[in-house]
Amino acid sequence: MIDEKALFTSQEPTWCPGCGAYAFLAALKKAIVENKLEPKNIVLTYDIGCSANMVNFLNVCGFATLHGRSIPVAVGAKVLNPKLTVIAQGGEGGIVTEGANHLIHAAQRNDDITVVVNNNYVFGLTTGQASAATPKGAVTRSTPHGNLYEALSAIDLAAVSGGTFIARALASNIKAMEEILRQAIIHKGFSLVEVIQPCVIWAKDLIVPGPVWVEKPFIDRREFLGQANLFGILYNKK
Amino acid sequence: MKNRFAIKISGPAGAGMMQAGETLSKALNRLGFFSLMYPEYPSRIRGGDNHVQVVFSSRQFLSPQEKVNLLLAFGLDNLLAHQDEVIEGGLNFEAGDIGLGGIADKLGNPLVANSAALGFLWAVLGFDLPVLKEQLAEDFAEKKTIKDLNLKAAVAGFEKAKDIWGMAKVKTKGIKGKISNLSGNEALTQGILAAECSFAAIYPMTPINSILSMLAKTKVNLFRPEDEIAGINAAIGAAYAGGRAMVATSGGGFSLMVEALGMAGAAEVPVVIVVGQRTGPSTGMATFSSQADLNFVINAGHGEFPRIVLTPGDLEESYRLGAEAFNLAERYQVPVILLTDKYLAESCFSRLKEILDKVVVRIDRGKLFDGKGEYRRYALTLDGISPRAFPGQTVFLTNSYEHDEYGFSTDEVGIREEMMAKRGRKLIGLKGGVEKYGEEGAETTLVGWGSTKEILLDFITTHPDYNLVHFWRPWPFPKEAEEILRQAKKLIVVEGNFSGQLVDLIEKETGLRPKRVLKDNGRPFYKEELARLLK
Repeated sequence: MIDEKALFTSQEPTWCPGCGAYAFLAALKKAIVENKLEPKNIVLTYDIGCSANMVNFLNVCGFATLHGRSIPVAVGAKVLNPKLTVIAQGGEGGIVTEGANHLIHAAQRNDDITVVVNNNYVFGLTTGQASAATPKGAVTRSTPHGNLYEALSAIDLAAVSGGTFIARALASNIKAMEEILRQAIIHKGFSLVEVIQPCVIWAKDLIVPGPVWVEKPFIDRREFLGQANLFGILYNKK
Repeated sequence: MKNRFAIKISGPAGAGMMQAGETLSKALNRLGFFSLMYPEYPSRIRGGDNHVQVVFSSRQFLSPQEKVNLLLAFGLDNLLAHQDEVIEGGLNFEAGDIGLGGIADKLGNPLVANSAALGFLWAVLGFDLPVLKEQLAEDFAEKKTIKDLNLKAAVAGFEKAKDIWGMAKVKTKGIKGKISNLSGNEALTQGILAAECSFAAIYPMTPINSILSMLAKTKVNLFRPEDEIAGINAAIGAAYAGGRAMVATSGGGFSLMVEALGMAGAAEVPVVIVVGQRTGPSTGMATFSSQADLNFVINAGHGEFPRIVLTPGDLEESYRLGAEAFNLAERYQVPVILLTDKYLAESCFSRLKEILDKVVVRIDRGKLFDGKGEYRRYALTLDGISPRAFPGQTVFLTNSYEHDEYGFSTDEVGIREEMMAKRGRKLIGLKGGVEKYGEEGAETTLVGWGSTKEILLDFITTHPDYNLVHFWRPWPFPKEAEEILRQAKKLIVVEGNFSGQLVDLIEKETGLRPKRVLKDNGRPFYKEELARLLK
């Protein structure tokens, strides 16, 4: 088993106090250790934004890519060297807004990567504008009269496109998040984990829907579509 | 025109004009003729007017022509569209008139009319049937069910013209020696395969589609991306993971790739980008040629980062540079753009086989981490190049954000300046990029880049007062170019764009003011046209 300390870098995280990203980083480290993965065999492609700053804080083969493009970079690395464990990270801005096209197609192809969406409900690092996954009615810097649109869900997109492991985690529940990430990473095929971690600065007034934890995955993916309050492993097709 | 004979075959899309042109060219090569096959087709799959021009000669450098010696049209519309292009005293035939449709009907398959036409043409040219049959048998080797039918059609077509055998009075004679026939895309793909490319991401787009179909039959990991953005990002991911990776596209697709081009520059990931130019701007004329993307590929991307632009001009260069692009990309850890165009990509050219066989390709993967000591992905070095490692070998960071030697993101003044200088010095030692052809001291020096090479070589061969300077790597601008250009008595740059993009570059880099001969209507320079423009 690898020492969790091997996953630390020389850099201190720069996230805001109370940010869900700290919990996510802790859970991811534990999931890597639990899965007995060697850091040099893990490729983690990062998007752009607050949560993507993690590239500096986790000691694996990290690649800070472009906004919306962490998924295709990950797919290329996995195709070239299938022995690597490949994870693509992005906020809901990168994965559901700028790069939703890549999410849909990687799920359709069932590419053997894990996609993590750190959903903080807003574009954080640009000071709090609405993204495609911002809840309807939310007042943000770009929607002073309230967001007009229903939130677009990474989980729904991945499910209807053909993703075979789909889960929603809550940053405040590290234990459950760790187990979800552990299973997502070893899943053969396309895994999507949405981590709900509302921005403590720009989305602090937005309420997470009262979580309902599912005991075991659904057999039919239609059963969880459109239900943002469901947490846990929603779908797991071997 | 002396020493050469030109044929045009025209017909609706789907009737097999391209196939006929290719078979005809290769059969002519068997007789010892060099050939050029230049296809033109509109953006449609059935109907309309597709046509191919086949020029053959005992000389190896050939150009497309405005006028042909012989026209064979597959319908009245096609005949009317091209009959003005036949020289005085030339021949024209319409398929219905000469009973080719009847042959196909009798054989029960309208698609063999093109082979009947080939048989007919072959007799009019005054050649012996077995050579054509051998070529047809080779071309249909993988399609056994229709092979015999096509052979029968060719024989029947040949019989139809028995009474006018040799009517075309071909004067040019074949040479001895084995002649290879390839499209620019084929030569490029062979170079790509010789370089042991291991990953290609290609979204279909004219004129690079045949690269995609050829690579699909090989062991190269072929990624069929959802868009060009995914394509180049995946290629960057594959190169980062240790592969030799490429994309192929045209101007529109490359427009989408530009942000990732900058990432390859900043993160120092080697990637090869084939850009087959077609007429722009925007959708332009989708199936026609252009040389208007030179400025674009040299300047694409925000910020400043090193890149290499290669502009192969013929089969040898397409093969050699198709392979060398991967070496350059890995040696300097930069994006390398292989800029071709529709004329070079989709026309078929011929060369003595021994000339193509002489092109030697070796593999150079550049500086690699030896596994000893502490690893810094972006170690500051004298030549600006830091050894690469691959995931699985050691832990390291790769970063599109400005970074320190370890790859950690930074906004610090000192390291920013050091990293810009490091990337900026990577290409300083680059040599070559420009080649001289023809007699020293000629009255006029023509200057070109890319696909004009063979057309200009053809011109200077018949005009000894001219010589040629050809740029096969216009960027970084070759150090040797200024001295070579300054020796010329008179400079004329010939290029296929509206504004004169290489001329502008030469002016900027050298202060020289060459004359410009430009053409931008989707077609290559024709032989007669060039003679008029350069008079």
